[in-house]
Amino acid sequence: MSARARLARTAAPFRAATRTAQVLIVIGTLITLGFVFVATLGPTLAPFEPTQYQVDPEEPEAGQLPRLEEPSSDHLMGTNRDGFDVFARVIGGARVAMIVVLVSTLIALLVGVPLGLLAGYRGGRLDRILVTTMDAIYTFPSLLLAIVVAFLFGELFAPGVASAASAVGIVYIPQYFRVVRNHTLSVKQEPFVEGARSLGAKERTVITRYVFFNVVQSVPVIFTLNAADAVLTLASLGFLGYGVPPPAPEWGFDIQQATQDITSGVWWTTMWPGVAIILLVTGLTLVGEGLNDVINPLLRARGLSGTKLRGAPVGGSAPEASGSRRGPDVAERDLADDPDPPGATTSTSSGPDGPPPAARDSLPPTAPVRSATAGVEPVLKVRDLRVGYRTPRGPLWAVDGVDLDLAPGEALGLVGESGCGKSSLSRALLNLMPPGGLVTGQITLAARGDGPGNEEIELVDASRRQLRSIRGDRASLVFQEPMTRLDPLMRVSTHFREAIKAHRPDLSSDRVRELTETALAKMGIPRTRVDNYPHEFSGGMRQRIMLALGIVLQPQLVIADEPTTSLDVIVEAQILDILAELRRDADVGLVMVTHNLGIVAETCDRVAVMYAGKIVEMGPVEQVFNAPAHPYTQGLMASTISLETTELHSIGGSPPDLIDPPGGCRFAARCPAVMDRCTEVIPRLTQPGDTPVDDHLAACILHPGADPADPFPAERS
Amino acid sequence: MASSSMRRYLLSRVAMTLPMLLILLTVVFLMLRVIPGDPIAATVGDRVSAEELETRREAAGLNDPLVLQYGRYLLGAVTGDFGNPVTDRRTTVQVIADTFPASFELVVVAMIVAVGFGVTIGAIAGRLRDTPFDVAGRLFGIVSYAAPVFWVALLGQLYLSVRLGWFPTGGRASGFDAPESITGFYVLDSIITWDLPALGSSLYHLILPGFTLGLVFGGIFLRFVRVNMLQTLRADYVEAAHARGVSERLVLFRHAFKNAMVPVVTITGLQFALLLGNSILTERVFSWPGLGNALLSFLGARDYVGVQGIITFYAVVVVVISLLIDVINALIDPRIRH
Ligand code: SF4
Repeated sequence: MSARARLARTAAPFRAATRTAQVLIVIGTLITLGFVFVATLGPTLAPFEPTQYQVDPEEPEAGQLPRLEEPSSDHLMGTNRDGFDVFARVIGGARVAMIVVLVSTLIALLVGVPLGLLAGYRGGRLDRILVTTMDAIYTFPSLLLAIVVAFLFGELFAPGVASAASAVGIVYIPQYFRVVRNHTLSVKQEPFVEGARSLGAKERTVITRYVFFNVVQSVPVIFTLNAADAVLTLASLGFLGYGVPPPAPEWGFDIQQATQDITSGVWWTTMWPGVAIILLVTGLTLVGEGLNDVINPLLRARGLSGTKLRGAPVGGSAPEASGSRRGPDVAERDLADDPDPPGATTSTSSGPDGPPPAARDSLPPTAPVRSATAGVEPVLKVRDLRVGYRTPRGPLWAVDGVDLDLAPGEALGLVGESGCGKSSLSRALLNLMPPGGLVTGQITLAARGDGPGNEEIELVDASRRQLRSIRGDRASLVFQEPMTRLDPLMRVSTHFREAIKAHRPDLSSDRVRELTETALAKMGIPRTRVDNYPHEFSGGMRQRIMLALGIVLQPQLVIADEPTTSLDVIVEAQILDILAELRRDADVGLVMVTHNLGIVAETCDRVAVMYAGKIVEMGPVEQVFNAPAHPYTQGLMASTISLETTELHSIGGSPPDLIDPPGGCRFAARCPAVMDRCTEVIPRLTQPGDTPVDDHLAACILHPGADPADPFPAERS
Repeated sequence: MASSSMRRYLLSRVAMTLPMLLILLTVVFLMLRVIPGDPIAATVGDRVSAEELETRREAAGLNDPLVLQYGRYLLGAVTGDFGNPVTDRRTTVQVIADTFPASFELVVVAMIVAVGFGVTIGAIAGRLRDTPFDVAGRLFGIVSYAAPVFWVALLGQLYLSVRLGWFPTGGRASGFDAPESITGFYVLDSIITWDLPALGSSLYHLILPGFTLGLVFGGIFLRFVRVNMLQTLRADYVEAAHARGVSERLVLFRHAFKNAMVPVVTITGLQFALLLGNSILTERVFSWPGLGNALLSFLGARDYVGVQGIITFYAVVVVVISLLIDVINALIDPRIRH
């Protein structure tokens, strides 16, 4: 790897960090570097020595600076009561602080690392004793510890930089100890250590090397944050008289010396050393926190937060080309909401080398979808749905123009590889977006009987309030990952009470309890366990609890996102049964998002196959599975040996980049049947000529009518 | 059921705490033995005759074998006898009884200030990630952490007490206002005796030291709470709660905030210990007659016995507090009890 590429890779997380994080790191780094610069070169630059007060007996006036003189051009920060130049003292203090930080870190490393290695390597009683000792030291107030150690070392040897640095350093030993010990412990169990031993390598060498490389990654954060703390501890020691003894310039001691000045109105002797401490500590903390932000994946925003994604998709299939409907309206509304100039985030695909949007997309409004539900009012009607996220490289349209109809009681399977947009779609159906996410298009939920709050509603531009009243009541989203979807601090019954009360505030507690117990009983969760906490249930039980939560208020629509992943077959069968029952008895419309084709075959009426943000094929399950019309679906079927057991395998190649999607058919790069025309036009969903059923659709120009340039698409229906 | 698992948890925590206390005490004992010379010689050695020195050594048990001294020390620490300082007529326990309430009051006020403003601003900043409020709050958190306790205290004393005269410059209560001493805690004593002027005066004297100390630690809480909020706000259960139509406010408070507070409670013990340590700086600035100042004067007189006694007491307090915090944590988070 070239040095440049390596640099780019190291910098990648930094670039992915939020804007604010970047700015803060840069500011922190500048401040810190400034101090390092001053500390190394400063004393030679400063106009006076920090201890320039010794009066030369020959020339009594020569070396004598005035006492407590106000800041002036001669003495930028004034002079103190010893007749020292405050500016020179502040600069000298930076050097002292830097030396102490470095020496104390060295001490902490020299003691902490070997002890950590030893404890982790030997384990057993030695490990326990060392860990407890380190814990004890860590728990003890660090300043007190530093004071006592500084006092001891001062008595034992002599007060000075070494004593102060040891006192400061001891405080940080436990942290380095801990990091090293934990890594050593974990690597000891790694199989490759065994392997290395059998190959004759020294186990100790292997471990040391491995631990070294792992620890080195966490050291920068620990080091900068400790350095910040060390500066403060040193100053505190100095203030109390146990730090670096005078006449060495040390900020804390200087502030202590200046305490009497304050009352007589002399502010500069106190002010400047304090400002220096604040600046340096702030700089170091900014760097440390910034590094932590960048390194710690937990803190990274989902998508990118901050400014909202603006505008509608460009390239792909832009709504402006459709010249109608909601797309442009939504775009404008968002622009109007946003004070920032438009275009900042939508510029990627209008760059000089990208084809102009119009040429790439001459798509007329997608033809209305005919569904299996002819005659029946669909419970869910989706038109031209787009879901976008903001990313560092520009907007990403995870769902790019989807049309769907779902009849009451119908189950629609939504399949595709991971990253095809099916999870985004399932959230978008409830308009549930992380910050920075945007939904455009049309999602219409049919009326549920009569009565207020049950009218037909358009979800894309519904108010937050309206959306809230829909979610969990008329439409439910059941997530995968049963282990993390329930609040660990809340009893299961409280989850139910909260959900029910959110929609039926007037229900009595008894009634709420009754609803809860019934819903859970249906899922086989006994009454006695209703008040347990989530962690007291198994994964399968939690998944059933989630499902019960989703249907307790009898929704019209249930969207189940991988509802059975990570569950064993028996639980899976139970959950599928429950879902089937719901459809049959309560006419619930079900969207089943999954990559398990077996489940789709078993439980769904229709299936929609997604690829790179678009539906490429849709139709009755039997028809699509037996006679797939789109090359992608064909590939899927071919790579799936048995529908019952095998999960969806990917076909050779990988899906396109959705930030800058290819023009034309998005499957072209992987399609065995690709033609020149495929990269020129975006195929639209049409009925394949040879399909026997009415509502089978595929988006591939192998089928006449899918080419948008075809003048007679409508006649085929 | 809950209570039995709680009891078991408590027992196991105590069992884990004892070795730690033992180690702490041992370290304290050894530390003050490595200094050459002995406490008597260090303090009064140059003022008394050799025989006198020897008698005092013998009386203080310093001529006994180290193991014996160690055993006596441990026994004393457990039974509440922290030794007799050389430079003070009072026993260490009396010194502690006289000064610790002052420190404790100060630290409690500081803790309230720190948690109050740290948690509020931190939680809001986390919610409003990357907005101007967040950036300002974050910077404020960092800068207030970066400001040395004693420096902030000095400036506060100068501007608010000396210049503006809003607050007293130091001490626990003005001249005759100190309440009759029962517990040593002025606030408590003045409430017990219903001495309102004393109560007012005590609180009034606590404000400035408490705030300057708390401000600095508020910065730590602020940063920590903010980061935790960032994590819980994107937790799966928060999204799931949104998907159930739970109101924004409830999701924020009941799910995101409450979960974000769990680790905050965990660090509170450590923070309390740190505050206790740092209160020494505030005490110094405001001439606060607390434990920190007592330690400083023993250190200044090189009275090792006094130093050892007070440090031992700190160790016990710290361990007890960390135990308490664990218990509180277990009450909040059901997972810990298992
Ligand atoms: S349109 Fe062309 S590239 Fe796309 S699936 Fe059909 S044949 Fe393949």
